[in-house]
Amino acid sequence: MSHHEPDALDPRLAEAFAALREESAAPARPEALAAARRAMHLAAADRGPRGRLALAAARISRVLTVHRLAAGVAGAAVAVIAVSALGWNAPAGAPLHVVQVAHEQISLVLPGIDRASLDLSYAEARLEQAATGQSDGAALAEAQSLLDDARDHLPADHSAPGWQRWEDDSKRLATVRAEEQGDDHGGAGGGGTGTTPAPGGGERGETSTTSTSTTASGGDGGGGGSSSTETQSRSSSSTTSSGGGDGGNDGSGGGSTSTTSTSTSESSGGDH
Amino acid sequence: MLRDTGPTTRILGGLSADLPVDAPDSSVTPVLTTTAVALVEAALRGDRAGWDGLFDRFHPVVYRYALARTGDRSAAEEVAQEVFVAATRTLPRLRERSEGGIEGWFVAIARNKLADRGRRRALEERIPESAAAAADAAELATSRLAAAELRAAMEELTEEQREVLLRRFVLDQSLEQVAEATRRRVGAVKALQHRALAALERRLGREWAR
Repeated sequence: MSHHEPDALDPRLAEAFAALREESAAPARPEALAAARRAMHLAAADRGPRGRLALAAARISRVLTVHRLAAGVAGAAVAVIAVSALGWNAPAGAPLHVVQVAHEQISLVLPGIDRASLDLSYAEARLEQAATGQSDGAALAEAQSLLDDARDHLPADHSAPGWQRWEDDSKRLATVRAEEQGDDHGGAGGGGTGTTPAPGGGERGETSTTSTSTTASGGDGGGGGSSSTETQSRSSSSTTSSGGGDGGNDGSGGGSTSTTSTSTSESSGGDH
Repeated sequence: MLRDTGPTTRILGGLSADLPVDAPDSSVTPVLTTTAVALVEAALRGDRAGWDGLFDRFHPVVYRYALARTGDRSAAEEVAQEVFVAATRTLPRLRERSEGGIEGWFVAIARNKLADRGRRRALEERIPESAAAAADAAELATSRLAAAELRAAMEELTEEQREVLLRRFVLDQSLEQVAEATRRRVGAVKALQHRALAALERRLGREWAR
């Protein structure tokens, strides 16, 4: 078939076209026409000379806003990254330490994790911070808390390897704490109230580590000293005697260090 | 303001001799007192009358084209409105400043709007409903069913074939008018029409043979 001539059209196709033409001949409704005309005029007005100016201003404003937003987002992202990086290993007590704590808290609740082991690792890190002087008492408090948490998550069988590690860490905590208190003690000694444990002193006594306030109650003689060896060696350099007798540096006197919160002696150098 | 540029002119031409039709629809073949080119220039200057003139002249064509494609009066009205809103944005880019070129430009926007609206998919979903409704109404059944079937079959054609058939047999444009509006040679329009009708006959012949 060549080009379609009118008589060459399939009659049913011609009929279908006629139906389609008739269907499409229905004019648009007056309200639709009015609405379309109004919309066109509004759009044209927006793009008229004044509209174009407004449009340009709006575009500039939009661009600036987008740039400002982009700059803000970029700045915020940099700030978040910087805070995260700086806070990742911030020692306890530092302003950004909260980042590290948050990270640890998330790690501790991850499914399938060995929580006790992780607690111990974090506690050891705190102890290290405290021992190297990177942090103040906050590190020890956190270490204590982590050790408590580790204990709660260690297996019931105390022969498990985790328990040994926990005990070692607990001992180390006590030691570091005692050291810190010893330092505090030595500092206070300048005021004449500190005491110096007697290295060579007595054989018994105890150190309470629940507070930083110190009071000495020296014995009157070479009684029992009560400090760890490390404390003794550190404290010996800042000696102030108070209290009793001739206890003190000569080691003959019984000194005891008490650091209880009530500033009372929990141990006393005795007459030993 | 616009000037009357001369004698009355038909931009859409006479009815096609190919198909018998009733009296010409004056809403589709508007009488011109101002050339479309002058209207475009007025509109570009921000003259409100220019836009009104373009609307009066081309809205019927655009609407009818959209209605033929969708079979949905509301959808066609929406598309026509979108076309004229879009035209306010794109008119400065119109290059073909001739009567047929301007009309072709408006219809091209309508075609794009129809494509944007996913009218084709909606149409496929609507056809069974129209067919079912037509089956219930004895008098209108035949024509509606035929129109719906034809519309569905035309959606299977290429965009170019569909446009030629709609212009020729629904908008009643001559081959020359279609050629000008679609920026093709008359021979190319004839060839497109031939292939489109052959494809339609094949498709509808299968349908009607059932």
